[in-house]
Amino acid sequence: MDSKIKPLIFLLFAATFIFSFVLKIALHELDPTVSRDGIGYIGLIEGWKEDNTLSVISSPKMISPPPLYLFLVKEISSFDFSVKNSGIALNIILGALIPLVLFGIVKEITHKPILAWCTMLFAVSHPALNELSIQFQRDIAYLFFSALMLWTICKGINKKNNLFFLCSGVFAGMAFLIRYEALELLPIALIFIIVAQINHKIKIKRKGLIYLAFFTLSFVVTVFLLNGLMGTSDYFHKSILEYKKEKITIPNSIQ
Amino acid sequence: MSFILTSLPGILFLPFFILGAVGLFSFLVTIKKRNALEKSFFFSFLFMGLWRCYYGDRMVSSRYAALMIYPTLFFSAYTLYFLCFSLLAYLPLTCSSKKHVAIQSIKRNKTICIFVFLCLASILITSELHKFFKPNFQRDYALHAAEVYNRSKSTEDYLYSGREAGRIKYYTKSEEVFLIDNERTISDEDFLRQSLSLLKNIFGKHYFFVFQKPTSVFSELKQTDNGILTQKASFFTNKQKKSKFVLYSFYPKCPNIQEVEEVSYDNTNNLAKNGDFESLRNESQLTSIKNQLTLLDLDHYLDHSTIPASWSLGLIEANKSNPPIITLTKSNPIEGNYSLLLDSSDTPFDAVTSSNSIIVQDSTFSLFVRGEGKDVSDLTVEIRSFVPSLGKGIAAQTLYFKIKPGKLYHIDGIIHKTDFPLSKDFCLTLSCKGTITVDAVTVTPI
Repeated sequence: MDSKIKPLIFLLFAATFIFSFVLKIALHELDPTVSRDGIGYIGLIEGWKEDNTLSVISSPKMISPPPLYLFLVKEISSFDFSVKNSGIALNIILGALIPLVLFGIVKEITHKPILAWCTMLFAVSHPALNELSIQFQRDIAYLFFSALMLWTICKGINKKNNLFFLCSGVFAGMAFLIRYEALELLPIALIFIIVAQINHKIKIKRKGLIYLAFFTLSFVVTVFLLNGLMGTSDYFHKSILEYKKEKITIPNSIQ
Repeated sequence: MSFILTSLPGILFLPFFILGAVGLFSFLVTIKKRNALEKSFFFSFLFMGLWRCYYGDRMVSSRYAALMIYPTLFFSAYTLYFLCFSLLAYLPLTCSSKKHVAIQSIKRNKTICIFVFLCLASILITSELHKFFKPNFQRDYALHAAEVYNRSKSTEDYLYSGREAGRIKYYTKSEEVFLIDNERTISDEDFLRQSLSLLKNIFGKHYFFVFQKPTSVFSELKQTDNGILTQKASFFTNKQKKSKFVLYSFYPKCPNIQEVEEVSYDNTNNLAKNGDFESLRNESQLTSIKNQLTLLDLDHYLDHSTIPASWSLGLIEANKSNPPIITLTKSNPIEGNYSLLLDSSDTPFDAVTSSNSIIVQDSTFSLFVRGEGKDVSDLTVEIRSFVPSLGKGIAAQTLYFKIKPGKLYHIDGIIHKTDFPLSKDFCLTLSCKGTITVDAVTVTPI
């Protein structure tokens, strides 16, 4: 790439990030209400900080949220920030980075930088992305890591490099530890690899299986490793048990 | 399918949703010309949409479709990008040479395309910022309602909220906000109507944070036998003004409970046997109850409990590890030699006791209750009857009270014969969460 263009592109990326960041700050100032789910997360994180254990939610209708987002906010709040501000700050920063990752995805798919820039502009101005960025919710963090997963898998197919599939599995694992819906990234990765194999993008036979193996292995290792690091190894098991708990019924009294 | 039509346009934003659909269709038509990654993206988008449509009924929020924003943005940008280039191809150029025309055309089209997208993005951002200024509704209504409450609160307050309980607790910094009906089986309005009857005997001020239709009128509730209801604040919650978030305060009249200094009652014609708790169970009665306790694995319950005659114990098998205390007590009785102590402060279950059966007739009931320990106790007084045709007991009247420690209260009420169309007899049931002493229970025919 031309040495004059690289700094210009870097400047444009920086300007986009800063603009997106400032826009989200402004939107948050205009609507600082904490969401209903966010109140619950604040309670869970404050409880985690006090007791050193993440407690599960006692509700027959709702399974406890995965721990990674709560852990990240907890760690940020350990620098003397309030839990609420830590969560919002994390979401605003990740939300401002998402358009840049989308640029990468579209560039890898289409090799058209202008189309990638246009998609990035739309992402900066998308109302739902902006609204999710200013709320204390898990969605933006989940979208960020999902975007990274998609970018690395596209990169891996283009560059035919195992490392990108490893990274893709890591990001998919992190997205799964933020929202369980991220399990859909596994069949999506499968779709990418199968279509690439059929279209001879992956020229060597069975190479697709190797890529899939790298992806799946790194996904599983990431989930277990992160759970261990966060101290939440039995959290998933406990939350399933709590979700399936039966209510106690009280029979009649003694006469 | 309804998920596509109702939830997706919201999260994906309608213009992008439509453009994305057009882009998706054009991709489908030209699928053979697409490269591998474009095809993968296309099939991934289809997969995302299909499984969400399948589980659409279980998706309570459109945020579950948030991941579809990426392919929607891509297809929207793709549609507009190629539309721009297609339209710009018709614009004339100044160069005469074919080579220069080609280069100039590409440079010009790219510039105009970026300019068009910048304009669209600016319009979107401006409209998003604009909606925050001078809206005809209160965006952060929970925060404002909490501020009104914080200005008028006193020491003895109870807060009730439906869906906004978590936010109200957060903004008011209250220890407890009673979450009512999180499952939304009844509306906030119906909940308010029912609550005023249930809370009529609870001392203190009750604050209700409820959603209400603008046309709802609660004038019939404003001054009743139950208490006085006052609207403190009201905020529209959306642009269409179809919903209001309202803060009510309710000051109950407490018709069934009074704080008293001493006991005064008439035990003549008392239909509630051993209402003064002066009689203990005899040997044969104790043998019968011991057998029942053994069946519940509560063999040693009678080692530390003295059971009054003619009153039953509300004990179940779940209590066996930590049963509530239901016993006659000689230390500091309210009246006479004995009073009944109900203590469930250390167990998750209430301490429950019921009087003997009383023949249904118009009557008044009365009892004296003293709070014990350090905390406020919850007392429920029920007039229950067994309905043979239904095979179960039903409460004809239920009264709720809060008993402060160290205070003596007189509780009374009226029982109507017409409350028991299917029963011949009833009993008085006391259920306590906390620690109380009860005495001088009377049921007197009118």
